[in-house]
Amino acid sequence: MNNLNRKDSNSQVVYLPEAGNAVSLEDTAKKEVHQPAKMNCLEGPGKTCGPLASEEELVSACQLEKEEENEGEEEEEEEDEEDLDPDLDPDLEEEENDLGDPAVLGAVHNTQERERDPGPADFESEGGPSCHCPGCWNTWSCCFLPPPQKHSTSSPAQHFGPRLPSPDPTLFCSLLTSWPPRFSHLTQLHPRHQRILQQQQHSQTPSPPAKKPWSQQPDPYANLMTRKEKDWVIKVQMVQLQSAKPRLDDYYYQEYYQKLEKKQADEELLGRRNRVESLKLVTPYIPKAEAYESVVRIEGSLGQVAVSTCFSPRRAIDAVPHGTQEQDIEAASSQRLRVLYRIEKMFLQLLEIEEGWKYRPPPPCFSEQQSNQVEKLFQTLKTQEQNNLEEAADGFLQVLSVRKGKALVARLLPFLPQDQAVTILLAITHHLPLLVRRDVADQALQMLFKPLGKCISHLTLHELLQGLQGLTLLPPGSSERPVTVVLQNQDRHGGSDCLGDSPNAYSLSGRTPSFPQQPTSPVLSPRGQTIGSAAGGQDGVCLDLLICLFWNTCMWEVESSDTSYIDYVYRDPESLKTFLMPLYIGEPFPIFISFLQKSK
Amino acid sequence: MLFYSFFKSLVGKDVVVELKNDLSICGTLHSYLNIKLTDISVTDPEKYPHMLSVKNCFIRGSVVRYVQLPADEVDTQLLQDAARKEALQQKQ
Repeated sequence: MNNLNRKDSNSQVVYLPEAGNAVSLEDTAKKEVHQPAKMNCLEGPGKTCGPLASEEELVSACQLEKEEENEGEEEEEEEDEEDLDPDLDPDLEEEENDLGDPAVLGAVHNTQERERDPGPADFESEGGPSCHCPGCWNTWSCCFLPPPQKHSTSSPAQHFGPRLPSPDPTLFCSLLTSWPPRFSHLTQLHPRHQRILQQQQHSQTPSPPAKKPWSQQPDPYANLMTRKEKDWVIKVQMVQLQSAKPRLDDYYYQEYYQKLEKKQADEELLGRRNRVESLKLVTPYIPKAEAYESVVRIEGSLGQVAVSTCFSPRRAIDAVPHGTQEQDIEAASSQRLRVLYRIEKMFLQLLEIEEGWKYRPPPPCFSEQQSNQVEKLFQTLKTQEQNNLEEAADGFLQVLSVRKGKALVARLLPFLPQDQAVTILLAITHHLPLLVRRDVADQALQMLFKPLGKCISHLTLHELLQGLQGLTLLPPGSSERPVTVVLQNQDRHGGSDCLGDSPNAYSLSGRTPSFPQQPTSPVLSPRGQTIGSAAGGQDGVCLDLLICLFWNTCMWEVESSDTSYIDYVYRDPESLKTFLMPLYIGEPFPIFISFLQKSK
Repeated sequence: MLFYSFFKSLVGKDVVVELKNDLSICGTLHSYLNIKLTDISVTDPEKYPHMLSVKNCFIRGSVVRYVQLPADEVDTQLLQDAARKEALQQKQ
């Protein structure tokens, strides 16, 4: 055989010197298994498997990803109990078993049995047992996990080494018995997902199955494989997907369902009824993932055989990037590429921060390392290495012009300390027209508003006024004041939200456009803002926002001298609206500006 | 592993699989390792009348051109993050 001398591999595959097993290198036509089964080569039933892992290094295309012996004892012991040698007993009657779940079978110690399952042997009728995983050079037995049988959780006699925590298999047993056979291989799914599927199934069963026209005639191709055989094949695939680090390898799925559950929990908190959460079971992931080379070199052959696995699918060429891409020819496209490249690098840092934050139950303060990370990311964002403030702002704006950049900033904002967040906020409000103009295609400025709003709610008045003044100042190189642009964009979310932001979120908090009868002390306490609801983007709302803005500055100025018209307007909301109507269309509003100047 | 992870989250949802022979099949995704659909129907005008009697099907991966997914079942931000992590892992 090919694979006796892989020096650099650390797989713990054991070759089984089964009697009469011919090694055949065929790729059979039964291609449901399109990946090489990365199973442990298991020993025969009679062997001890104590020193098993260290023995022979059998290298093959279907190398198992197995850990070191010390760590791998658990799984080894599991695997060892699985049965081999299908050709020993070809005429055992098959037991019908609905519980053939590959995940469970990995977990359950069901394999001490002597009874063989002839399933695979049945349909493997071509000469000699051989593994029909493509690219697997070993004999049948190496890749053989017996089709499910009545698993018994007892059979401790042949366990050696540390054993798996026994509650797990029993839990799985009980879980499985309630499962319809159809979904027997799906118990690896997140419990939330399982519940959804169960619901679906229940809702579908009432409909009577339609009688197919041809169902009376016997189908010559039906029932070629038994349930067990089918499950066996599925299990062969499933085992490859199990990994030691499910959160990393299965990232999307885990995160998705966690978010779903969190959303459900939130909805439940808000009063919507929810079902009682069932016992949360997690599929035990058997650590058998191991790195291996996906290129097999056969002795005496002229080339390499590429093996595709689920971790490196069909690597056809060895593509190595040569040189750096720093030298860019075109200026314009390279500029954009550079910005995108920067954004991606920052995203990686952001993901690290978020991971770190998720895993320790978040205290409001950061650990040392986390704050370092955040700081580093902020510096990258602000491009502090540039001395010129203009350029720094420009770099930041470029990042913001891309939709990804906006998402990045939006997700970063909750992590930043207050002063840095304020810096960003001021920069954004100052350059608002530019951003709005550039956002025409994306309409993505909204995603910034929620975190910005939170930030605003913590601002002091001074900073708020700074922000407002920023709105009225002419940004360099532009002819419009931000605030006029914002007002002109009232019909869009962007505009109204912008305005909703800067007028001091606390003015919106809890307050409808009905005005209090007398000026109270300005509410400085940050409250939960209602930006989302207030800035609905409707025309009336924009006016209300403007009124709130005006109103809030009024509150500060109420003791000032020239307040006659203020008294007039704030007593009557309707007249206030009509009063403000000319301002609506974007003329410079002297009153407003004068207020701001007075408040300096 | 991203593909498996992604399709795992879509098990039980309705998808439309467009094959390379222009046949579009709409069904419920049953398995994420291979594309198995249950309760299928042909979405296009049924110029494939032989599909009328078929209820479940298994589709070999190499013949798939597109898989159309329900938009609200996909979290694009999360997908982007997962892709970034995957790229990072591969580089290591």
